[in-house]
Amino acid sequence: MHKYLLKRLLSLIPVLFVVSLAIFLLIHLVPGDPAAAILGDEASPEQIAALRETLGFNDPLPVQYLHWIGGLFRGDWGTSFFMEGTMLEIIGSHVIPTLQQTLVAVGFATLVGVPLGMIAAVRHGSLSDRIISAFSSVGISLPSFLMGLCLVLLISVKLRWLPSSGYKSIADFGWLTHIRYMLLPGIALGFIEMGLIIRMTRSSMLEILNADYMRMAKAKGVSRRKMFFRHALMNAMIGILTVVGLSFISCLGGATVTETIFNIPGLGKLTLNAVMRRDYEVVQAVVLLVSLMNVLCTLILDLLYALVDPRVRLD
Amino acid sequence: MKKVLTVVLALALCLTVFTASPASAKAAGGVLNIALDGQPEHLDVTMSSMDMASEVVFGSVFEKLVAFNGDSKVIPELAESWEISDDNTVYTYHLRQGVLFHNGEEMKAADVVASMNRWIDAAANAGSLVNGAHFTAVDDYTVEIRMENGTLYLNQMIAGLGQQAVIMPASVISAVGEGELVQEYIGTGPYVYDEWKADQFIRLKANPNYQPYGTEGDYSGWGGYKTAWYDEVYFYFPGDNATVVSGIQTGEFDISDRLNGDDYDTFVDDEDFTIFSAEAELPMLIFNKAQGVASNALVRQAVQAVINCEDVMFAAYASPDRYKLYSSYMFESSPTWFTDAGSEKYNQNDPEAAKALFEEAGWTDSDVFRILVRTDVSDFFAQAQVIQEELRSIGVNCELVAYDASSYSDVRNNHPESWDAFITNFGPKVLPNMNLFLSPSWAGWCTDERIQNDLAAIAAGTDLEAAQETWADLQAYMYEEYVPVVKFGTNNLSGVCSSDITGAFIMERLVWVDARPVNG
Repeated sequence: MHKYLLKRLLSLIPVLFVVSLAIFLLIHLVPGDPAAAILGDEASPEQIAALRETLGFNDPLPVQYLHWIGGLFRGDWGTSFFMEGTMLEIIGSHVIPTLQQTLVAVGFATLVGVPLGMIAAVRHGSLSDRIISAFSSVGISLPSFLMGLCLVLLISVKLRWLPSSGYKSIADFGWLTHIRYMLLPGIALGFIEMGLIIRMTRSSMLEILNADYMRMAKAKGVSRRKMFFRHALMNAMIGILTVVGLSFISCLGGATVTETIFNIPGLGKLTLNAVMRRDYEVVQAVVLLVSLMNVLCTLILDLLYALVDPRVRLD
Repeated sequence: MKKVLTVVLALALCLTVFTASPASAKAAGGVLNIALDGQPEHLDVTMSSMDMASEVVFGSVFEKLVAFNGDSKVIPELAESWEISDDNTVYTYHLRQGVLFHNGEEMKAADVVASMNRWIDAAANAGSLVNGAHFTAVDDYTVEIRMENGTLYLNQMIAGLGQQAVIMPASVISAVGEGELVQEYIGTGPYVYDEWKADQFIRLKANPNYQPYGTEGDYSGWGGYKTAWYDEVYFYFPGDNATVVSGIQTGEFDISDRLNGDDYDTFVDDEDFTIFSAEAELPMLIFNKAQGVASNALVRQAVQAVINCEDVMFAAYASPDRYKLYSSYMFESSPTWFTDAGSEKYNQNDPEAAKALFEEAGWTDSDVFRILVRTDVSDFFAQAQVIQEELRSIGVNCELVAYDASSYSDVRNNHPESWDAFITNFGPKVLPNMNLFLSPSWAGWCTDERIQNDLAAIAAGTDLEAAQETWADLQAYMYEEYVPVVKFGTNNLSGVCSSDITGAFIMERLVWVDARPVNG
């Protein structure tokens, strides 16, 4: 187990190196000038040149790359040209809204998706199965931006039940206000994942419900509740867990769209703004961090498999 | 049944708790929420001319020696009075006494000298107007500037927009190096800069020590008697138009500084909202005079001849109510400089004349006219498409070179070999010299000797009538011969606010300092 973990962690190094090089080259080779963005349209070429020099943009690219990578090894993730604070503070303040939104989205998708998938599987072929399957198809086909706009129009503008956009932190505004602002973006983001989870739960459960050992359990007189929850659901868990884990990763990536629609200052919006105004080191740090989170999520998922299913051996 | 009832009751309770609206923010002393078209890069308005930064701090946090009222007349602000020598070479300003900065220090001559000289060094227009002269302190409450050549327009330049002559403490300025941005936003205005959470909000708070100037209730334009009507003012940066519209409809935002054409109709007949508009932008096609096909004046004249300004304006602003067609390079709101000289060459829509001019210029089928466009400004993109079609209709090959905002600025400023013209707009200016499209160093590179000499004469002139005549002749010359740009028209900027609020308006950009509850 330890050997496996060490091997997986070591394999992160080449991955992160390639990512760092790729994103550095990509963002620096695209035309754009943060100095011009900082000084505005009326700045003279001399003022822009002076600021470029101060910010170190006139150094050759390899020097700039080594400077950045060197900083990373010393724990310095770089600085933003536009925002105050260290890079970790900036990313930290933006990653929290994204994580909160993702948690609401995955929570919604799981809490709605798993029970509906189970009901569809248990009542296989019935009207409720068909309605649930159609509902999951709608979920999968509806893009989050469209879902977000529909929710805003219906829930916020027409019914005035929930706020249409914005982010209120728990620290400043308390839990209740925070959740009111997070519900719509969470549902919009999690709707596609909900559709996927319904399908995955339904098909996994169906496969297991038709297995011989389930018939055996039924013949032995095991109660329905125990049969579904203990035997069927636990065995279907591997497939469901995979989808939930991938949903988490997918929501983290897809949050950019809902963050834009709902004006949430998350990682997606940070990246988008940083790309738009060529805040180089912010883009580099965020992409590197998101890559790291992705590989770590996959690793955690692999470890969870072993935990849930004793047949999986990590060694 | 009992279970079902319990579930229904629990759901109803959740719904009530979660959907309860926050307390109304429309009462005086409450919170004002403003949606901005974008997030400013910083709030150091002396160093940059960004609209967003000005909308947040100009007049609210920072103030100037003098300001423009609603009739574009210069009125006193931090200067109680001023004197101008007969030859217009010496301007002396007598400062108000007892004005406190937000850090508690009293504003004195040293602060004004430091701020004004920083402005002169940072703003190219100001530097060239005063020809390198700087402010000095006469005593604690008097400052002066002595210039080699006189100028009529220093006060207009100070009061105008662009890079702004705002007054901040000398200690804030000396804490940073030359050309660097200040680290603290400390002014004298009715609101104090409080907090900026990146990508979330900027918050201002009422300044409890603010002492208004002038007569109570007499606020106009960018100056006059100011009151901090709200305890807190939040600025948000929603970005997406749909988010702004729904935010205004649901009361998340009280004011939005931009309302695009498509969203205008959503609010125009709704009694719950007030739309405010004013003529504020001058869109135009700027030619690359330094190199490429447009460096030939005949090509520029040919493009000017083919353009139908009505079509170009309609493509972007969708309704004739939202734009005006007139030839003056200066706005109607600047009557001093408004002129129709050269107007026969404006809005020609004459394909035959254009063809003849292209032929005279030696245009061949292999030549291409490239228009640089921003992908994020749909108005400019639509206008470029119309011009492309008009040029193609007379057999001229025209391509659009599209980039996102950052790449666009870089290509425009540093790769002039990649484009022949671009579209942008400008706000009203108090002096023709302030128009960037006439600058020899700004993109487009208007280096024509006559234009630069005449502009210098206007800036240094002490006879207003002679200066007006020079400008009229120069505009005619630009329309008939040099053609540095093609002006399409002028368009309105619109904002929207809840009808519970009054006092927000557009004067070049959103002015909210006097915004207050209708029944406050």
